[in-house]
Amino acid sequence: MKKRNLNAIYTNPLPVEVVPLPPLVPHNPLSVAYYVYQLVFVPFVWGFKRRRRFTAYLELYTDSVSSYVSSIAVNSYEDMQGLWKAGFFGKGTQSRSDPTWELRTAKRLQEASGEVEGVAPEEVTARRRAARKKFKNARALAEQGIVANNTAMEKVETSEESRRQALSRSEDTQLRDSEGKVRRLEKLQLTFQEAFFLAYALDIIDIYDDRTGDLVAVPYLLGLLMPDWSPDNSFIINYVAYHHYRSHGWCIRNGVKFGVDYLLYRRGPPFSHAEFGVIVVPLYSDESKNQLTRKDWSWSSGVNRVVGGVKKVLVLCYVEVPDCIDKWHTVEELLQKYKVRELVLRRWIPSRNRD
Amino acid sequence: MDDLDKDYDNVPATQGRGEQEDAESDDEQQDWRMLTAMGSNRRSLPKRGEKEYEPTGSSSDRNNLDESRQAMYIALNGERRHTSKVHISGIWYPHLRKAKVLVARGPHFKSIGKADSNGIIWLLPEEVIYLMERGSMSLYNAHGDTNISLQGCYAACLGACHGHERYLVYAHLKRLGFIVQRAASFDGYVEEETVPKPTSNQAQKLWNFLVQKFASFCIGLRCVFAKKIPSFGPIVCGGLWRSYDSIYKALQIIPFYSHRGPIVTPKSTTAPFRVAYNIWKPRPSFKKSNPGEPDFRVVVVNAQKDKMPTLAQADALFSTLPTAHGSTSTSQQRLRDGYKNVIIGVVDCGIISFVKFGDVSFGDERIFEKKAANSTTTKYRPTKKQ
Repeated sequence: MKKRNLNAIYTNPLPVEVVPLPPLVPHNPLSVAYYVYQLVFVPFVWGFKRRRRFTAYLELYTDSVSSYVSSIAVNSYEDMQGLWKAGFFGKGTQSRSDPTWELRTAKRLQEASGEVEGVAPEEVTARRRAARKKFKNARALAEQGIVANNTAMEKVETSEESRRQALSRSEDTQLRDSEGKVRRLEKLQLTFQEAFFLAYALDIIDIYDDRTGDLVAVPYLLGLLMPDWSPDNSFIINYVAYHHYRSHGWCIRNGVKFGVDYLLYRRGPPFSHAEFGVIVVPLYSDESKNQLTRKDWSWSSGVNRVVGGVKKVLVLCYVEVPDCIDKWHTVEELLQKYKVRELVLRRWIPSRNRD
Repeated sequence: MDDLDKDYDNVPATQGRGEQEDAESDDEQQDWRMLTAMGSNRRSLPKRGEKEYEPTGSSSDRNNLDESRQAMYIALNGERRHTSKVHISGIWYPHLRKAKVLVARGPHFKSIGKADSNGIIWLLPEEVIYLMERGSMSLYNAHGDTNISLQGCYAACLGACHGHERYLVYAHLKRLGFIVQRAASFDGYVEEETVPKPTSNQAQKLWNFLVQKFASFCIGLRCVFAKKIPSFGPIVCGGLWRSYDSIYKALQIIPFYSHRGPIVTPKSTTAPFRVAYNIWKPRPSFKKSNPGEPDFRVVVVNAQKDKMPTLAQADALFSTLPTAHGSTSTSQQRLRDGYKNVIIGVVDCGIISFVKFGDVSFGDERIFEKKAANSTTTKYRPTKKQ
């Protein structure tokens, strides 16, 4: 299995292109000229060029009271790959996180004439689990004192044809459309905070209403995503935390797998495991309310155990909630009413810290 | 436990410096078979044995279990004793809430007890109970005639320990080998002596304010040229951006708590969130007269009576602590351990668990930001911190 060059695949930390200035060598006239050209002329030209935009569709759920956002998803394959590769936004609906369903299905159906490029993480996991299962079987046999008979244990190498037949399923006929090509069934689902960040902070995504096809502009989107206008509503405090960590360079993803709100990665999931698990806690100016909403030590112990068991550090992100959020003129003003402070919690084991 | 997150190839897990938090490492079970192997006159505790991760159901597993169990019974049956050469005797004075040591012998006094001007050593109540429990001490009442039993010792001394929880934590840490001393705030909040008043540098503040306003003005200008509604407009609007660094700087609009501000004055702490004990790692060169900075500070709380601290209580507690690392700390250390940290020992009906609380600021740390692949300049280096 070829080792992928991760830096070449995942170059940009955000889906926005940057054009850095070239190095300036003062005594070299060519370098000076090129530098001045880049400094003055290129932005002028760039101003006419439209930034690459992504498209997403928003599904609304309407009941007798009002409309709620049910999901925001990106349908186009290129947009999905673009958003994942630059900043690790979203989750593929048919994959673990990285939208690789098309790649895996193509491999399974042996679409391409030659080797299909790329290795999906699901395949890596499957390979690792198969290897571990084999190891466990061998170990169990060895402990029971039976010499493992390799020829008896392993199946005879099946022929290419029978292996391909084993991989195909009866539902595969439904995968293809009228022209015989594989349908694109996977979408990249964005969390509400990610969608708002891409729409408001970066402005690189156009969100359309799924039923009507109208563009959902940022003011309307904000109104839809906020369940109500209480200062501590779940969307806004989670968004404040999300924006805070993104703006300091962290890759932040959903952390429900480990019982936390967010996971923080230094560069992204393919590079290393998450280092921190963040839980967002609202902090009120009224101290008595803070006293009432305190958690038990058993809660802290439980979360610490889960997070510590996967070698992450728990971060309690306190978001100071203002008293009311009725008066603001810009979204920036609204966000600046909040303030963020963090504490880290770790299990401390005395015997391990003795030397 | 299979790490659910492990779905990428060749991913190195980023670990802290040598601190692996094993989920099963909580109870330090000794390997009892090593006890019998060494014989009954052993000098040191045997090391921890290897823990099996899953039962294989084989007979060798069963044999191991039986052997271990047998070794444990033999070890527990042995008689515990110490020589009269190291036996301590003391007198308990209830009105002073301390015990006077009549005969001071043995290695304990390197870290226990305090000598007064006459050279007599006085013991604090938790030290008395600890020594009595070990069997190293005989305690007499104030008249010096009657022996106080262990039960009597508990009755007499526990109140002065400020609660059973504090004694439990003291004894637990002592038995593990740490050197434990009472902190200054053991009995209550202590007003710190003259802390240098933070000199608010007005010129610096004004300059920072102006720079920030100018930066947001420039970004506003760009957005105007890019024709966007400013109130719901993007932060990173259209136009040419030169580096991800500038994009991140533009995005940093949310106020956060920073450690780079002026020095914090200590605030008054609320019970029980005050430092109870200072502890040092065991070392032979420890001097009671000059112990140096403690390695850890421990707060003791009762899980039934108290809940987790509110941020205000934690903030007050942190304001009384010195910074944990010097200027040579790395970003990783500062984020994992905290700019300041404290250990809270939570006692729940006799079961003790420790949680380390650290005061961090993610906003102060600049993590590595890689420039675009087509850049020919050198890699970005984070700015030096003071």
